[in-house]
Amino acid sequence: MIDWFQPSQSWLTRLDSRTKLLMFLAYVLAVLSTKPQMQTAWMTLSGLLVVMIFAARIPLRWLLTRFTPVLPFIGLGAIGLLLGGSKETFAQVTVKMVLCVGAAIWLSATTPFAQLLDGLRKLKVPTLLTVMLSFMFRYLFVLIEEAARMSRAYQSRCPRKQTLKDATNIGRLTGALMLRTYNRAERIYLAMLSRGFDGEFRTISLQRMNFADIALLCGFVGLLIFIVAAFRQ
Amino acid sequence: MHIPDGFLSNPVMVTTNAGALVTLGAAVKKAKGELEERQIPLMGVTAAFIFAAQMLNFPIIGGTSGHVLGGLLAALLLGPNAAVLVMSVVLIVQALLFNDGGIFALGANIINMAIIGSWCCYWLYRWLAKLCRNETIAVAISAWLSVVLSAVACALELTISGVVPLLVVVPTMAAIHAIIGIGEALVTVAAFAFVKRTKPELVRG
Amino acid sequence: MQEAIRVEDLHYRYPDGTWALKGISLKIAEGESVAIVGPNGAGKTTLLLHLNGILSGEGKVFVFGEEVTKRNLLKVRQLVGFVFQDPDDQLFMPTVLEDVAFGPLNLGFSQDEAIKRAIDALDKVGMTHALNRSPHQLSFGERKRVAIATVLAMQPKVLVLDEPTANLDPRSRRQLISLLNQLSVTKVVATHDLDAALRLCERVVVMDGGQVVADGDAQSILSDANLMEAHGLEVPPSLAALQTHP
Repeated sequence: MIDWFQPSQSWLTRLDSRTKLLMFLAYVLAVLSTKPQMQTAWMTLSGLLVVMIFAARIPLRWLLTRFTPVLPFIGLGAIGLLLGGSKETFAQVTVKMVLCVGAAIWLSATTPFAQLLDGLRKLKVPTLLTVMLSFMFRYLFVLIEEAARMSRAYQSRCPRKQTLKDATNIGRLTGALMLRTYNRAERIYLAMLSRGFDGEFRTISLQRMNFADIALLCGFVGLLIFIVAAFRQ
Repeated sequence: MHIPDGFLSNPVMVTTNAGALVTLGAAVKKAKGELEERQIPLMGVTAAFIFAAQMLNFPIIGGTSGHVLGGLLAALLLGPNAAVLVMSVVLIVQALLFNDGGIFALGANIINMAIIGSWCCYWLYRWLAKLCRNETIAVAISAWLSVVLSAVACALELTISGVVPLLVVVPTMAAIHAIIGIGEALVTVAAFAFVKRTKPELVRG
Repeated sequence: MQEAIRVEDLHYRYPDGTWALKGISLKIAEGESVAIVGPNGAGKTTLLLHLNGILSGEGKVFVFGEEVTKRNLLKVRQLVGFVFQDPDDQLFMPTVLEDVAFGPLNLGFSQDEAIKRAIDALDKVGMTHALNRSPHQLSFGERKRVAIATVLAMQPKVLVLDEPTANLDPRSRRQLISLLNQLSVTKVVATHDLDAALRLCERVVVMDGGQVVADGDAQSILSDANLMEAHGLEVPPSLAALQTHP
């Protein structure tokens, strides 16, 4: 699973997560501010994304698999086109999606989740949310494992072809999984208490914005502003 | 359906993000007041549970399969305010970790699945339960509606963004999710009944 | 030798009304290694959870002379470190370093000091290379070791372990036993693994039905076949071999 999340390491990985998050946000804002007719701007933004992907050393196959959730929406756009929509709208929406999702994939590839969480904490996202995100990330794989195990056990007792009626059994499985989740959460809480937890969530932060971060961020945002402003028609 | 970035028009995106931010802010404030210390790990791990539960597929027709949203179930188990946060966390992690759903589109997705699909349908369930005095029916209908209404909201956002015509996308999404919703209803009813039977003190909704 | 733990006539009742502990009295000296054995439901884990104040029943628990109350829990939890059975319950942070630093941060240490203690603890269990990894990337045996590090980082004087060798493969089990033997803290180990009990502890307390039914030298108690069988246990293979091959 880890290779699926962090397919490569590059100098970008070492940067503060706030830098990368802000770069991503700036890029998407630039894409969303670009009008359909600003052809040069689109091409430059696409080129910029390609450079970013290369710099992050993202493997092509991995990149393509991460685009999968977008496909149904490209399909929807195509349906809109077939039903009398304009070619420009379809092209525009598709390009916007590809660029924005591409940038999001870049963010995921360059920023390990734990690092991203630290950045969010530093950006003053409410503690309740960051703590929930932290626990969700930590126990995601544990729970997927448990769900998969229960599902396999069920399917091995259910050799016939499954129908919608199995939904009720899956419901019971889900209920059982929730019970295990609840018991686990109780035990986690006891483990937290045992290590002195008193209600305040304390953790460490290993990141710091240094000169390289600020320089890259300013340069990148400056470039984006230039692209959107200069290629205005 | 998790809407990706770049699909929604700017006005829709800005409005939905603003709406979601305000609602989330309120939910965080309320939750801080209501929650006991020991429930915070529970909320986080429940988010992981919802994600895992969403991976349990059930077959619908032919070779297709659907999966649950879990919004109403989360609200029945944790209460509506906590559930909004849990479902939002699920959506945020899906966007950040799996690129399933956009980051600027989180507002729309949160409104559809966390607010409409969880919070609103919880209160709908409470009203229905009083109305028809049968909890199971209330759960089933509310679970079904949570899927259908969130799909319709999604369709409206897509159509207002000007990509697909209203008269096509709304009925189609509604029809597809009307069938998926049956699965959601069955799963939610069974899961809720199971938990109530084995550990009733777990239910806070 | 100071008295590390003293339990005086401890009774504990579950919320559903059943009595889990029916009058436990126990004294553990500093530096001792004591194994708590008994059948399922004997109350071993329940007893252990009283030692760091997670549970509180009727009767008294003293840690280094101080009675455990609601007011000194942080101090008690620093002195008495609890290693839970499932490391996935104990490792709840996104990365190993964050998990091991959690305890020292709660004790009030600065980030730098907490990190230093964390690295020291990871060094003791041989897991410094896994600093930035997420727990789900580690093997079960590695997670067990990191779980112990999370507790060691608080520099406790007593280490309480609930079924430390459960689910470990033979090699990891050997490594864990060897690691625990290197730690010079007082140890209280609840376990079904009677062979491990023999290797780790010089004293064994047998519990059954919420009460202490035997307390003494590990070898003598564990090789008493009648006693073992009367309480749902058996003589561990290593001792049984000695008995049949004198």
